[in-house]
Order: sequence, then C-alpha cells, then structure tokens
Amino acid sequence: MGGLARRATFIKAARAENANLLLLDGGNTFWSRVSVTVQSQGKVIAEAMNLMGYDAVALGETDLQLGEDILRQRIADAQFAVLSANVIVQSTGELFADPYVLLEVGGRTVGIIGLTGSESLLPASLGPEPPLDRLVSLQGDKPQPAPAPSPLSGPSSPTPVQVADQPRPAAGHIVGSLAIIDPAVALAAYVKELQAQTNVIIVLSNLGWESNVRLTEMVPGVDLIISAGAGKVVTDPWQAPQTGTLVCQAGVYPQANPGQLVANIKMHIDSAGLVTEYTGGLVVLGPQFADDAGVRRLLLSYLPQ
Amino acid sequence: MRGTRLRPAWLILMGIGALMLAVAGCAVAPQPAPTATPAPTSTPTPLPQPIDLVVVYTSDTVGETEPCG
Repeated sequence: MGGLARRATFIKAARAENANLLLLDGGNTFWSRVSVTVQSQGKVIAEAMNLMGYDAVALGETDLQLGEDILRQRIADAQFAVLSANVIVQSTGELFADPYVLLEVGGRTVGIIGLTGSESLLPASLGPEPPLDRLVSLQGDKPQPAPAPSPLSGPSSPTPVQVADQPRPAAGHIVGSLAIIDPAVALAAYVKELQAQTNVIIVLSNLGWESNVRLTEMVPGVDLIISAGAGKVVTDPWQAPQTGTLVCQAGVYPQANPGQLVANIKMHIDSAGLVTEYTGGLVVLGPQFADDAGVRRLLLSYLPQ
Repeated sequence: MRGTRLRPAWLILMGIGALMLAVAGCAVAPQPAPTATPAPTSTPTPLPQPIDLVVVYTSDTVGETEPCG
C-alpha cells in the first residue's frame, strides 16, 4: 500500500530499540507530483508524518512551490517543527518559519536548525572541495553496511562566517511571496544563538551534498548535518576533518524513486557536546517491511471512494 | 486634683530610675552573635550526561506515498 506505511513500520521498530531517538527529515517533503499528495496539497504527508512521530523537518525549496498560504496550513497541520532559518516573507522581511527548535532527548537538549535552498546558494568558491569518494549512485547500487565506530578528534577553529544584520535574498531565489536568503549567514547566526542553550546542534539542510560539506568548514559548532537536495546518497556519514561535523544524506532531489530509503546514525555525544563515536547506515524500504496499519488507514482515507 | 499631681522630686527620681534601668538594660541585653556571612560560592554547573543519540532520517521524499523498492 505505501512507502509511507513501510516507513512507519521501520520507525516503530527503531523506537522500540532506541530510547533516545530523533526522527528528522531534511526537506523537499510536502510538494509533490503524486496525485493523492497533489490533491491534498501535501496534507496527507503532514498527517502521515504526525502518525510516525516526526520531530522536525526542514522546509525544502521544492516545498515553496505550494505557496505561502498552503505552506502555512501544512505547518499548522504538523505536530512537528517545520524549520527554515533562511526563508523570509518578502513583504515583511520576517522569517517565514521557525529557524530552530530545542528538543529534550535523554536528558540532553538538542538544537535543530533548518536550512532551505539549493547548490547555487553556496558557490564552490566559498569552501573546500567536497569528498566525492563517499558518494554512491542510488540507481543500481545497494547501500553498504555501516562502518565501525570511529573516534573523532575535537573541532578546530576555522574562520567563521560573519553574521550580517540584514541578509538579502539571493538573486533568483524568490518563490512567490517568499525569498531565500544566505544560508551560511543565517546558520552562523543561529548556531551562535543556540550555543548559549545547548552544545548539541543538528542542521537539516536541503542545500545539496556539496554545499552542506562546505558549510561544515564555514560554520563550526555543528555536530551533524542531515543533507538533502542535489547530490547522491551517501552510504555512511562523512566527517569534516577540521570541525568534526558529520554529514549524511538519505535522499536526493530529483530522483526516480523517492521515498524508498530511510537512514539512521547513532552517535555517542560526550558532556562537552562532541561526537566521540558514530555508526550509520541506510535501509531500503522493501516488501520485507509490512505496512503499518495506522498509516495505511490514513492513506486509504485520501483515496477516491 | 491635688492627689494626682506629681511633685518635681518624684519626677526627678523617676527620671534617674529610668535612666539607670536603660543603662542596665543595655549592659545585660544579649548582643547579637556575630554571624559570619557566607561568602558567595560559585556552584559549578553540573556537566550534562553523555548520551547515545539515534537519529532516524529521511529526505527528498517529495510527497511519495507508494512503495518504490
């Protein structure tokens, strides 16, 4: 019946095994060409994600095509945080969505920031070359087993991005009444703000793999970037040598078969907020995963009678 | 009116008595024990406990509802 229903089954099993679990999405989630999603203007997705217990989702650049009013409805439907630190309402200059959320997990406070955009927002000249050896093609390649835990070194101090008071929308990144502003500047500002409240920071960013890898050097202080957007699926998390930031990506836009993957990363985070060990992996949601009854009922309720 | 009127001598005696009582009272009144005001101590903020955190994540699902695997 559904990739969503299979995903729900996987997530229930993961929750049963892990007390300290966050369920996140990197973005490009609500807008669609799938008929049931188009007809509901993404509402079916928000409701399915409610049932699965998502904690936070980044607003994707594709999602902006729904328009400001519809997106506000989806954000109201969502029982999880829909985040973007760099989408503004053009008429007011105010952020369209919450830039971040603070969640309590296992006695620790985790800050989660959302970033919206595409590769063109962070030109290659702004950062180091991305690691290409960790990329695999989604078509025809099977996900690789998770690597052994890797000890990490502490972060160094790369030159941080300067925080501007009034970031301007980048040319060509205006969608209807909404505009996308500089993601690196926005991230630097909100990482600084969050560091007064927590030392565990996760970023959900659909800027694409290469841009997100550059962000690890441009904005230190981030533990993990859930990457989305352009690029390729990454079989195991990549760690920035200078800052220790981990980057992983379970989906790609565009792709032929969206929604077939779900991924996980397990991190040991010490008192100082440093990730000292990690493992990660990808799972293909094949027929071995039975449909979750609750999500199945929801999807059926949206189908024409 | 005569019976209720105090003579000046009595007034003087009462004044001296009151003065002596005041002096004696001051002498025997318990002095407040000197209390040492504790110096403000900086209690260290307890470090948060290490955590094993699992993040399950998806992305770029673009509204897909059906199985694709």
